[in-house]
Amino acid sequence: MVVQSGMIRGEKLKKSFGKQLIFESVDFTIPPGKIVGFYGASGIGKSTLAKLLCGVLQPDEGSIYLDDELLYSANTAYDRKRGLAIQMVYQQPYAALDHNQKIRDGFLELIRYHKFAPDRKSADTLILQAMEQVGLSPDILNHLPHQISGGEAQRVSIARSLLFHPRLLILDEATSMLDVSTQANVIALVKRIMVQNNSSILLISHDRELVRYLCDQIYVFDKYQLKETKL
Amino acid sequence: MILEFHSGAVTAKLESSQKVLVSDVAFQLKAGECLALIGETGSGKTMTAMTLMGLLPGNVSAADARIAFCGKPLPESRQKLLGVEMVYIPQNGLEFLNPSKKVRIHLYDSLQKLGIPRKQRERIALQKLAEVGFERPESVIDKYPFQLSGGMAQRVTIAISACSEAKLVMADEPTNGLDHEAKVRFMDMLKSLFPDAAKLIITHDIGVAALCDKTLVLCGGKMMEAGPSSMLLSTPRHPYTTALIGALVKNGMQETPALRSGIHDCPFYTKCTQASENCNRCHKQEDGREWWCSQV
Repeated sequence: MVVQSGMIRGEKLKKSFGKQLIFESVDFTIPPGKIVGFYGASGIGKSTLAKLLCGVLQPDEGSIYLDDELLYSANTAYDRKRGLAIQMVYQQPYAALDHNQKIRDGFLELIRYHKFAPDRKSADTLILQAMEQVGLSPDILNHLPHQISGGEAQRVSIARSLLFHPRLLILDEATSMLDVSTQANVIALVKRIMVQNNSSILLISHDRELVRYLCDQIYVFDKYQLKETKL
Repeated sequence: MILEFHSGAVTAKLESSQKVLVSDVAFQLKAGECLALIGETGSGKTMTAMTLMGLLPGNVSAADARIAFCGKPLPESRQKLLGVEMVYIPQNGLEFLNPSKKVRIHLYDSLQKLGIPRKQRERIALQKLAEVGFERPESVIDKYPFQLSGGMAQRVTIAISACSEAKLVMADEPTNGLDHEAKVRFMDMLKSLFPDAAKLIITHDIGVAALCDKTLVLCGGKMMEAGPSSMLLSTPRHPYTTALIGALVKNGMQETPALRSGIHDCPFYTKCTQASENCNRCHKQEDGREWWCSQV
């Protein structure tokens, strides 16, 4: 197999919770610059697989590779530093934001912790750039999460993920809570930014039409296994 | 007529100013009729329902709202009506249920409100759980909310709503996160559980609106278009409705970027492809449909 830079690969992954098997022998490839879809009914294991990619859960068997180098396996710890290249945006727009923290403070905390900027002035510049990238007004920075709309909160989550310059952005039902016009705007925005940078998107959804319309490559869960298919 | 609703101006008091959230939204609902309120986030859908239930936040007021319920003006205090003649199905069942109470207690509380004797409550509660699709209701009735999945919690909230003499059912984004088949099942269940009640469905899902008799399109707290769902969604008149339908996946997920700046009576003015300097929100009607735009 020719390994492209930024390629993410899962091999023979297995995960169960207690005696409940979620999936086994799961293989997949996410090439750079492509939109890959995981499709299936609720509770079938799509989000669990995404959590393995982010290092939130550990696989029982199998390995995950980034650029053909081991990122995570059943026997080794998640490589946190390289793992930052994989970012995830969740379904609930407000769940990723601290209710008591203004949007600007959320950005600053992230920037300080990951040392994205040497001082406050360059941190502010970075925040404004991220806000502009996702088409949000800087006024929102002084608001608390409950003072902004669901679409705006989801854009803030995306802007925060983009600070990491991810090679893979996982959208876990990230637009299912949004209205159709906000969904169209958010998807178009993410697609523009990610594909421009030759980065990939993993779209997790139970919306068949959405997956079929957007994805270059589609995987469907079937009897505890992941199969590449055409919807 | 079950409901005649006119919101007047619903106003929020901010730190140094006031903001009108909903302005002159009006509709009527007959027994058995189902109306979908659609529009994007922040269009005033939930505020309209909150005005109706008298549950507006402390800084929001609807001073000149005119609401008639079953032909009589709705009283200021609606506590006696809520959960009995007027029921509300929330967006997130898990958040709605009291985490320290078992499903049984939630259902019993509603049945007690109806004056059902203690001895009959278990039988009716199990029957209602079966009606919302639990094959073994006795395995659910003694569970706490945290032991339920999102879908199960939603069905429990519907069962609680069904423990009523509802004349008006309001459901706020009830199908969020469900696939298409589950949405159709939900709407069928609602119609079979409450055949004679007027139903107000708040949704941003055009697929759900298509399953309702009538649709009212809101944007920025104002009415854009109203009419029978089949006609409104197949041949929209207002440019905003056209944009909403154009944003559907099957129509290519067309974006609605800002085209101009400025303040206008129409909340869609900055993004409207048909707007002009002289356009306004004049009211037009034809064949049982209404829309508010001078350009079409």
